[in-house]
Order: sequence, then structure tokens, then C-alpha cells
Amino acid sequence: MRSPSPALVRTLTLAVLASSVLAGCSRAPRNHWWQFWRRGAPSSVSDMDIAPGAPGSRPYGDLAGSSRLDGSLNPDVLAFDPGQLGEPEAIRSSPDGLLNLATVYFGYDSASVDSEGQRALRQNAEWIRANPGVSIRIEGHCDERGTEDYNYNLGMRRAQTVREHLTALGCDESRLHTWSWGELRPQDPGSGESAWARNRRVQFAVWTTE
Amino acid sequence: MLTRSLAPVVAALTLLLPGVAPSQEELTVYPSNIRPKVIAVPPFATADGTDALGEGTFSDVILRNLQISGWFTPLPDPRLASQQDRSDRARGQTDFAEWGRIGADYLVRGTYAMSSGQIVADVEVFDVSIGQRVIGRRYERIASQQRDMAHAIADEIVETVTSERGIAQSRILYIAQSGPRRELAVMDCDGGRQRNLTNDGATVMAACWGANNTEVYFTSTRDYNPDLCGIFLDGSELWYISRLPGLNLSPSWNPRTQRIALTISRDGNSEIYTMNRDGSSPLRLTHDRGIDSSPCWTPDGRQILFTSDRASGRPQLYVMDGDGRGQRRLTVRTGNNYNDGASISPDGRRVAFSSRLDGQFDIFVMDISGADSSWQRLTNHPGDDEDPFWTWDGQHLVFSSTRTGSKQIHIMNADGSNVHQLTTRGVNLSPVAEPLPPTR
Repeated sequence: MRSPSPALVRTLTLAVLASSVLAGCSRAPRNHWWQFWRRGAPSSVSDMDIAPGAPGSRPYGDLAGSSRLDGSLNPDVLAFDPGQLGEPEAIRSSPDGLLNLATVYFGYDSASVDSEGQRALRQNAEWIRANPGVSIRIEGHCDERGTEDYNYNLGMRRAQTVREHLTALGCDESRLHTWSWGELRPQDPGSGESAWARNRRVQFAVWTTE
Repeated sequence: MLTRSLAPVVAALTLLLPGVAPSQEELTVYPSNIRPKVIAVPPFATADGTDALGEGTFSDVILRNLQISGWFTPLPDPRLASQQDRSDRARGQTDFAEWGRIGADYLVRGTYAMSSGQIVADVEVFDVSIGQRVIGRRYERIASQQRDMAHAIADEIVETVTSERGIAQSRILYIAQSGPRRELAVMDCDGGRQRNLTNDGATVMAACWGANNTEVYFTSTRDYNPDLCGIFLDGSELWYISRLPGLNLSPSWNPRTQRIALTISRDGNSEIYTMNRDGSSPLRLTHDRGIDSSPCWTPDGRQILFTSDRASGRPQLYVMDGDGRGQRRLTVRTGNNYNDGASISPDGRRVAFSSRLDGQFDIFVMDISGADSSWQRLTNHPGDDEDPFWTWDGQHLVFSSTRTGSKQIHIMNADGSNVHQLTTRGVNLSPVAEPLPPTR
């Protein structure tokens, strides 16, 4: 029955972002992911003042359905697409870059990870294991050719497959959360085989930080 | 409600016209088997000459709804209706011979007036061939319900002439996309009064009509997971029904079993569940490694149609009992190797779905048996036609199509004829027609 007011969601979103900014502000400016946050960065110190101390990483409710409001970021705000910045693979050199995770691509109507994808996942797993404070949202995407409904399911299956791989590679399962955009957020808005191939993918977003 | 005030009139008309009481059997007679009647609806006269309805004149709304019904078609040249109407008014009498000569089978004539927040319309409907009035009555409503009134008038004309109840007063739930946002929306059956029920910037992924025709169940990411939510049709309240991690998608409500069937992905892949409308007593019905999705209750609540890619890796239609037993595949037709989005007709006999053939999705219908010989292709148009859903009378299908360049909602007769586009702005998809006629 809980329905967070938009204002509250925004406040918490800003608060979590603010804590991230504070954590990183002593270092030299880098291409941190929040700088590409297209809706704007935290605007005032008062936003930071209300940052909850170390928000818990509890994005998933249990069967009873606890709210994921505490400490989690609004997924729509976090739908950061590095592809639109001309850096489709999202590989950044900074050791603490939060999006140092490679996108994994899939065959048509498939949720199998090929050898190239497995190589990317091994690399990603290493990073995830080395950054234990971060929870990851694994986002499955599809090309535009299927039905809307089936594609939500297929995108979820891709995300779930990637989650299984990462778990097998030693990542903490509880930090890996699955999500599906279906065909809603293509990396390449075009049609045709090359666009479709780029859109059948799993990308990674930061879900919560501790 | 107007429909309540209509009841005595309709009852009286039914008495006057023996043998027109609607029966279940007649519902399977599709309008396309019958030549649509040509109907003339000249502009209603207003006292002050103003056009009270914001979107088209009163008579335009009535005529569009009559067209969508499939039972009526306008005069080839609508100007003829205005001309003949003026001529009649000048002479002070209706020249039925002339109306017949220009091709009209029926004539709808009316006046309307606004006063102190009320709208009053006097409507007469004539059977031109016999020169007799078949409807003559006054409608009154508060001004904000002009469209409801126009829909009620259209429905009464349909019922008087055909003995079948019309769908003009039905509403359609759908998903309205604007930018990256997808909101839950509802509109009239003719595309009028489009309005959002949610406005939270999240993504709505699916919706169905719920209990009492006043509740709506829908999947929204508003709380950081695709949860199943409930909302009242007036946009009030909002509650959570199922918040399992992962997808809580594609709800289908059945009033007989009082259960929601839906897709849940928490078990590692998408499976079909049913649950009560408060989310209690979840019951898992499918257990396999494939995707099981898009459940649809049969009207009697005994079976559930769904999509699964368990056998071929491509989505196909399946059916099972309401408790998950007896799962079997329905679509095995060569060439149609991608079938999804089943919607079952209100009489439980026909299944509409979208199927890919030659690289495009089209709307097909088949018998509940799935037999190849019963397949019928309803659309064949460049672009993808998806998400068919039956109207409550089993005579129409609403669906989404990209034929105009963007994904928009259309309505057509159940045989694929008489297509009307209902939405034009932005992107609109996943239409779900109201499952019951208005009470009266």
C-alpha cells in the first residue's frame, strides 16, 4: 500500500547521489558516471545534509513485499546509457569508475552467453568482487522484432542468465539484481541487423552504494 | 447513469419490435455477414449555433461510433446529408423518398442545447424505407457528460436497429508512451477522452481490467521493480498486489475464479502463477526452463491460455487447466513460428493473437482447438500488428499497429474489416477493452 511521493523519491535519489559525490570529491575530476546523469546533479548542500548514513542495500523486497525505497536509486533516473556518449562498451580506465562493466551481447531470440560474452563477464566479475560495496542492476534488453510482452520476459531471462554466470564466477548473488527493459530502450534506435545486434544485450547499472 | 434512465425506453422499444431480444447465439453472427446499413447523421441543430463538444460535433461522435459498431456506414458524400436536412427543414417535413434516393437506410436527426450546466438533446431516428420513426426521445445529462450521451445515443440506435447492444459506451485501457515514460491510460471506445491514470514517470508494462470493472491491475516500475499494482478506474488509490523480485507481469483477472493469472520471474525464469486480488495464496502453475508468459483466463475460469517457448525456443500458444494441469501446445502451424498475446473471445470459442509471418506481425484468430483449418488471418499490412483484445460483445478487436509509422491503437471488426485508428499522438500500445457492458 505504500506509494512514495515523487518528492520523496527525488529527495532520496539526490541524497544517495550526494553521498557518492562527497565520497569522490577529494580526488581529481574524472568521468564519473554521475556527471553524465542527464537530469542534473545535486544542486545544493542541503540536499547532501539529508543523506541517510550508509543506506542499506535492500533493493529486493521479500515475499511480504517490503519497500525498496530505502537506499535505492530510482531506476528510471539511473537508466544511464553509455552508448549515447559514444562509448558503447562502457569500459573506463579509472580504477574506481562505477561503470567499469562491459556490455554483453546476444544472438537473436537467445539468452546464451557466447565466448566473447563470457570473457566480458569474467572481467566484470573481477570488478564486482573487487568492489564489494556496490550492488549491480543487470539490465536485459531486446531488439525490436519480438512482441512487447515476450521481450520483457526475454530481457529478464538474459539478465538472469548473466546473473547466474556472475554468481558462478564468485560474485555475491545478493548484490546482483535483475531487470528487463524489453525492447523499450534500444542502444541503437535504427532498424536492421547491425542495430538489432547492438540492442540484444545486457548492460549494468549501479543499483545501490554502501 | 444515463443507461439506467435508458432502460425503460429500451424495454419499451423491445416490446414494440417483437423478436429482437438479444440472445447469446446471436453474438456469434458477425456484422460483416450483413451489409452495413447506410445512415445519415446531419449536424444537430443548436439554439446558439455553438459546437458544444470539444472534439468534433455531437453528430460526428454519434456517426463515428455507429461506424465503429460495424453495423452502419455513412453516406458516401456526407454533404448530401446536410443539404437534404436543410431542404427538409425549409419545407417543414421529411422527404423520405429523397433520403432513400441519396442512399440512406436510416436518418438520425437531433437538436441539442446547453443550459445551466445541463445538456439536453432531442433525437429522432427514422427508418427511411418505411418512413417511420423508430426512436424519438430526449436525453439529458450534465454538460461534462456530453460524450457519454453521444455514446449512449449511438448504442441505442445500434440496439434498436440490430437488437445487439453496442460498444460505444465501453472504455479501453492502454499504455501511453511519451518519451521514455509509459503511463497507464484509459479512453473511450472511439478514441475520445484519452486520459492517464498514472503520472509517476515510471514504466507501465501491462494492464488488465479487475474486479467490478472499477479496479485495474497493472505492472509498474514505480517502486524499483516491475510490481503488480492496483488502481481504481478514476485514478484514485494505488496499492501493491505482487512485489516478488523480478517481473510481476501480464495480469489477467477472472471474475469467476476471483484469481489473477500473471507471469512471475522469481524462480529463475518466467512462470505462470495465479493469486487472489490482494496477492495472497500465490500458486505456481508452470515448471519448466522455458519462458512461460502472457496468461489469459478463459471466460469460464476453467482454463488459461499462455505463451511458452519451452519446446522450440520460439514463443507458441499453450493452454492448461486453471490449476496448471493438462498443459498442451495449441499453435503448431508451419511458417507461423512466433505466436504471442492470446486473447479469448467472450464466448470462449475463438482465440485472437499476434503471429509473425514473412517478417511481420499480424493479427490471427483460430478456434480454441488450435486446428490449422480454423486459422484466419485478419490483418496483412506493412508494419507490426500486436496485442489483439476482444471487446465484450465478441464483435470487435482492439490492437496496436505500426502501420501509420508509430505504434498506435486501432479497432476493427472481428473479421478484420472496418479498421479505425483510435490514437494518433505519441506511442500507444497494449489496448485492453472493457470486459462487460455498462449495467442498466
